[in-house]
Amino acid sequence: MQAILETKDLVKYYGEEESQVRAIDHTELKVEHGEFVAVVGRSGSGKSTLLHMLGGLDRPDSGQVLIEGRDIFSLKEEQLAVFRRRKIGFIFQDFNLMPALNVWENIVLPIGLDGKKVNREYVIDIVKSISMEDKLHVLPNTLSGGQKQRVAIARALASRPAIILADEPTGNLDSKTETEVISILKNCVSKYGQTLVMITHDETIAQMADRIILIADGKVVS
Amino acid sequence: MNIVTKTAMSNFRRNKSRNILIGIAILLTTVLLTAVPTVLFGVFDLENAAVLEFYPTYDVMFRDVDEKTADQLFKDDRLTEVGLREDPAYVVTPESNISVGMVFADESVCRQNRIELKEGRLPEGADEIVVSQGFLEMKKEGVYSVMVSKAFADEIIPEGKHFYRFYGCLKETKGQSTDRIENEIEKIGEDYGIKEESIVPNTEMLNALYRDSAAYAGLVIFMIVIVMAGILTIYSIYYVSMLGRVQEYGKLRAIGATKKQIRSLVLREGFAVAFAAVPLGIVLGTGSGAAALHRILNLSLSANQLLAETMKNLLEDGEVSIIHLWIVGLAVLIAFATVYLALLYPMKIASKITPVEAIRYQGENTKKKKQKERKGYIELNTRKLTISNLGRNRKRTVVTILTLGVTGIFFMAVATVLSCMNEKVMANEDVRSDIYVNIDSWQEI
Repeated sequence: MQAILETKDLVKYYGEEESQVRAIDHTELKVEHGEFVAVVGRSGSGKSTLLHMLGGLDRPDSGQVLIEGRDIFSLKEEQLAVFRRRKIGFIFQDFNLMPALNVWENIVLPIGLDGKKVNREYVIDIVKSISMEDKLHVLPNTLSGGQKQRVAIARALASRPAIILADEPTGNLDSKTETEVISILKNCVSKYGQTLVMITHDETIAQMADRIILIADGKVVS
Repeated sequence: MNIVTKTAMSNFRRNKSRNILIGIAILLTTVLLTAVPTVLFGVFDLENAAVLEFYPTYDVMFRDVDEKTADQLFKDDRLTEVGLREDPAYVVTPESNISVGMVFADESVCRQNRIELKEGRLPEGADEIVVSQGFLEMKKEGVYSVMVSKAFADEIIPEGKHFYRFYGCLKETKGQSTDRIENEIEKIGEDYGIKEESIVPNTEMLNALYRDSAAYAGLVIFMIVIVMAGILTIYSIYYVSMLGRVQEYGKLRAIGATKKQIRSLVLREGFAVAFAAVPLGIVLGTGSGAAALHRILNLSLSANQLLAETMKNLLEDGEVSIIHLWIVGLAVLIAFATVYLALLYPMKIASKITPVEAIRYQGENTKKKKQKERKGYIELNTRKLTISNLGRNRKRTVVTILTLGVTGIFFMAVATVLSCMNEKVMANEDVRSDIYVNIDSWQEI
């Protein structure tokens, strides 16, 4: 069966000659549909750069990223933006939500950008999964860190993407909230049959994944 | 409402202070765009209406025209409604401080100068005379005018020594500008060897009847200056506020907003402010334009008192409308165009923000070459910290200073012009000498 996400000989360098940094150095990986993969590595190992490229946020110097068999960098910029909002759900460590929009609006934003109608039942089901039914009209500045990340999870799920990419989604949270958020994320992902690739530096969280990919110096080690 | 508009409206509510500032800038621009043409065209329309009411209707008067030249002018194809006037004698009575000007003017001149006889006809014989009621009663001292015939003038002044005032109109004037007409008049004068100082076009009447391009050109230039100042002000406010929104636009791009959607977001937010500010600006601009017009007329020390009075009366009676729909329409159009132009670059900047840049953004432009070293201070205080911050993003500092500086200069210039509209300056404008003698010889006294 075709992998839902695949990279081929991915390369990303920064700087020149002596001061060149090989952020991603001929990396290859595969993720199957429905898998929960944790990408682990030390600070500066290239995890974030890898995730940005997997999500089409950053272009590699060479190599390919295939999502559902499609080379995403063969798309033009505007086409890639459209592809991203339909096929990829993002959860960042911080700064996920639009401060001017309330919780509901933040969740349905990618759907709105696509000009599609919201499937209300589906979205409300997601909202219940994250236990935020009573906060739909609330603005992000009144939410706690954990609540914000829950809303970010809901937004990533709402457009039914092919894959969810999470860049240290619990990095800014205390350990109790961290566990809570990861549990919710894992449950939602399995409930809705999503594929999840998550970056984390935390070994405990990594253990919750189906598979761990270790990155060091821009290369996949295991 | 689609999501981009909804997001724009939410952003609009959220950025209250920035939007208030921009709203004020748009408001002031619209006020100026409305008030300036209102005042200018108000003055034009009132002056023209006043002139048409009582000014003489000739196009040109040539002074010191001898008999031979007068004959030739009468036959000239380029001229019509021609006439002659001569002042053959002047009676002075020093004991009683009464003097009498004796004037010969033919029918054409009388018509053009709006002289109507209450009774009788124009004098023909050398002993015939036309006088005013005031002359008959002679209650006051001063100068009286009486009308005499050509025959009388010929008796008093020997042949070959007549020097007439010639009055006439150009035949071909339809659709011409005052400049062209005045040029034509000068050419005719030159053709007959008439000295430049003796060629007197009826400028006020010509301005009233035909277009004066110089005034329109001045207005267009002023409007362009207003627009540029408006663009600079709005742009500089947006530029400064953009810097705080980098992450927001980056986030939107990350979740799949296209560049077009980002540009649209910026534009709609800006236009939302304009939709509130422009109508208010129109109302205030029209009101202040009308108020300024009233004030100008009240202060006016025009050398021609009658003209000023007539203009004032026409305005107060409402006979001349100073509110023009086309001025309002034009101001609305230009105001929105100003906002659009001011937003073009911010739209471009916002759409170019990539998600990765936004994630890494720390308040500087990461694309440009970053300064690697700086000499720095050994001891720091808040003043030195400020200087360091200003130096960190030089382009931003320079752009901010330049645009705010130019805006400041513009507003100071406008304020200076407005404050200069006081009595002294206006009097100096109108009267270019220390003593001005004007005899309204056709008025009854």
